[in-house]
Amino acid sequence: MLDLWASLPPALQDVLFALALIAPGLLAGALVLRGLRPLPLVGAMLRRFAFVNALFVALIAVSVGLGVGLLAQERGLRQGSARSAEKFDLIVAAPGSEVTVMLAAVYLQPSDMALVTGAQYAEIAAAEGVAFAAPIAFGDSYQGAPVVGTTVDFVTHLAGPLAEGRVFSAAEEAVAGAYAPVDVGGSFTPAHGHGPAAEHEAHEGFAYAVTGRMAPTGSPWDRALLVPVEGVWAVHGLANGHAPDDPRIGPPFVPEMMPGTPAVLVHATELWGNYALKSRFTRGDLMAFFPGTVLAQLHALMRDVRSAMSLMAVLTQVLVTLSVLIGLMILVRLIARSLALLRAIGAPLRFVFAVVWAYSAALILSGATLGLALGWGAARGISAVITARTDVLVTANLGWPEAHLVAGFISLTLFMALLPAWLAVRRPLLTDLRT
Amino acid sequence: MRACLLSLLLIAAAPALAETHDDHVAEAEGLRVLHAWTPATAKGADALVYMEVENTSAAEVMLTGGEAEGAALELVGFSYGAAGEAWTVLPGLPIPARADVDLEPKVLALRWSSVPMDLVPGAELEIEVEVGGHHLHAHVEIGAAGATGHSHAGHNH
Repeated sequence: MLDLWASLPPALQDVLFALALIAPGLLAGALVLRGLRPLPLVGAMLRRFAFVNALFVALIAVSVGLGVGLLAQERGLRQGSARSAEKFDLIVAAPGSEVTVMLAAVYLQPSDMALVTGAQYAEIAAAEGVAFAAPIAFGDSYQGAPVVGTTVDFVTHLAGPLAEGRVFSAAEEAVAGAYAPVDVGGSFTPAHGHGPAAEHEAHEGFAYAVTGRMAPTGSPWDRALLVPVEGVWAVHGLANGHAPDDPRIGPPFVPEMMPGTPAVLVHATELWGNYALKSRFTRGDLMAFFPGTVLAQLHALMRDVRSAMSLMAVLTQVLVTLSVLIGLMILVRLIARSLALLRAIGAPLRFVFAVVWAYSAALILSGATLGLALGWGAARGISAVITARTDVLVTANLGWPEAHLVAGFISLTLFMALLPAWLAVRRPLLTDLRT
Repeated sequence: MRACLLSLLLIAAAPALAETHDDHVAEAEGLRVLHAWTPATAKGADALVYMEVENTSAAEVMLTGGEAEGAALELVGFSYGAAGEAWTVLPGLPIPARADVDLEPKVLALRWSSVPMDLVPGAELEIEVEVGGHHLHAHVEIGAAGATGHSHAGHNH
C-alpha cells in the first residue's frame, strides 16, 4: 500500500490527501442531510440573524486567514531566499563562518571578513574545471545600495543579458541592478561603508558612470551597483590587480598586484566539478561551501518552528470554532421556540437536527472560504513588505499545504457542529413551546 | 592483584576494540573509505550513504558509486533552490592524488534507491565503494533518522 502511495505523482498525492481530509466532514453532512431539504429554512435563519452570523463568519475567517497566511508566508520566504542563492554555485572565502560569508556574498549583508589573497585567487581561477572565478568585493554603498566589485562574467551569470545598455568595460563604469537608485547614463560617487556610519566624502572626486541595467533577479542584487573589482581597489588606493601600464579590467589578475577579495564565486564547467572544487578548496587556509547547503541546513533547523506554527494555526482555528459553536448553542436557545414549533407541526427530529447542523455548516464553510481569501491577501501584503525591506523577492501564493489545512479544519468543525444540532433536538418540547 | 586483573581485561578486550575500530575503515592500494554511515531509513525509501574517501596514492582516482545487497549505489550531488532540495546523479568525482573527499549530508552521497528493508539504528550494512577501479568493502553504521554524522566522525584512524 505504501509502495503504491509512493508511486503516485506528488500532485495526485496532494489531491487525494485533501479529499481524505475533507471526506469525513462531507460524509457526515451527506448522512445528516440525506432525503431532507432544510436549506430554505437555513436561508431564513441566516437572514434573520444576519449581524450575528456575519460576526461568526468573520471570526472563523480571521482565524483561518491567520493560519493560511502564516503558512503561505513562511513558504514564500523560504522559496524566495532559496531562489536568491540559486546562482551562487560555490563560494570560496577565507576560513570563518559559512553563514556570515553567505549573508555577505549572497544577500549583501556585509561584515568584516578576512580576504582571499591574490595567490589564492590565482590558484582557484586556474584550477581544472573552473569556468570562471569572480571576486565579490563589497564594502562601499550609494544611497543605501551596496556597491560591489566583480567581473563581467559574474554580471552575465547573475542576470543574463542586460535589460538596458551595456556591461562595464572600464574601471570607472558600473552596471546597475534592476531597482538600483541610479539610471543608465547617470553617475555616482560611492560612500565608504554602509548605513548611517558610511563616510560619504571618503571617495570624493571619484565617480562611476552607469552603462547598463540588469534584468530583475528577485534577489538583493537588484538594488546593488556592480562595478569592476579594479574600481573598488583603485578607489581605496590599492593596486588594481594588473601591471601599472595595463588598462584591462577583469581576470587574469597579477597575484602580487591583487589586494584580495572577501569572497570568490566559483562556477564549474561541469556540475560534478563544483563538488570536486569544494573538496579541493576546503582546507586550512581556505573555506569552500555551497550557499544552497548552508541555506538548506538553516531551513531544516526552522522546520520545527514551522511545525509549531502549523499546530498553533490549527489550534487557533479550532478554539475560534469552538467559541463560535458555543455561540451557536446560545443562539439555538434563542430560537428554541421556533424549533419547538417546527416539531409541533410534525417535523421529524432528524429534520430539526439537519436544520441546526446545516446552519452551523453554512457559517463554517462561509468563514473558511472567506478565510482563504483573507489569508491570500494577508500573505501578499506581508510579502510586499518583506520584499521591500530585504530585497528578496517573496511571492506567497496559496498551495496544497493551505488547502490541506483548510480541508482538515472544515472536516473537523463540521463534525463538531453535530453537537449543537444534537443539543437542539434534546431540548424539552413542551417547555420550549411555553417560553 | 587488581592491576593484573585490569591488564588481563585490557588484553582480552584488545582484539574486540581493534575490530570495532577497523570496522570504520576499508583500505586498498592507497585508497581508504572511513566512517561510512547512513541515517535510519524505512523500507522503500531512498537511503543516502555518507563517508570519507582518502586517496593517499600518487594518482588521481575516480569515485563512481557502489553496490549494496546487489543494488547499485549512485553518486549524487545536492542542490537547493526555490523548487526545494534535489539530488542529481553525478557520473563520477575525481579525487586528486593525496587528497580526500567527504560525502556529507546536503553535499554528496551514495544513494541506494528504494531500500528493500528497514535500515534500523544501531545495525550495520556492508557495501562496496567503487573508487579508482577498486571495490572497497565498507561497513556502514546506521544512525538515527535525524543523524548528521558518523558516531566516530573526527577520530583519527
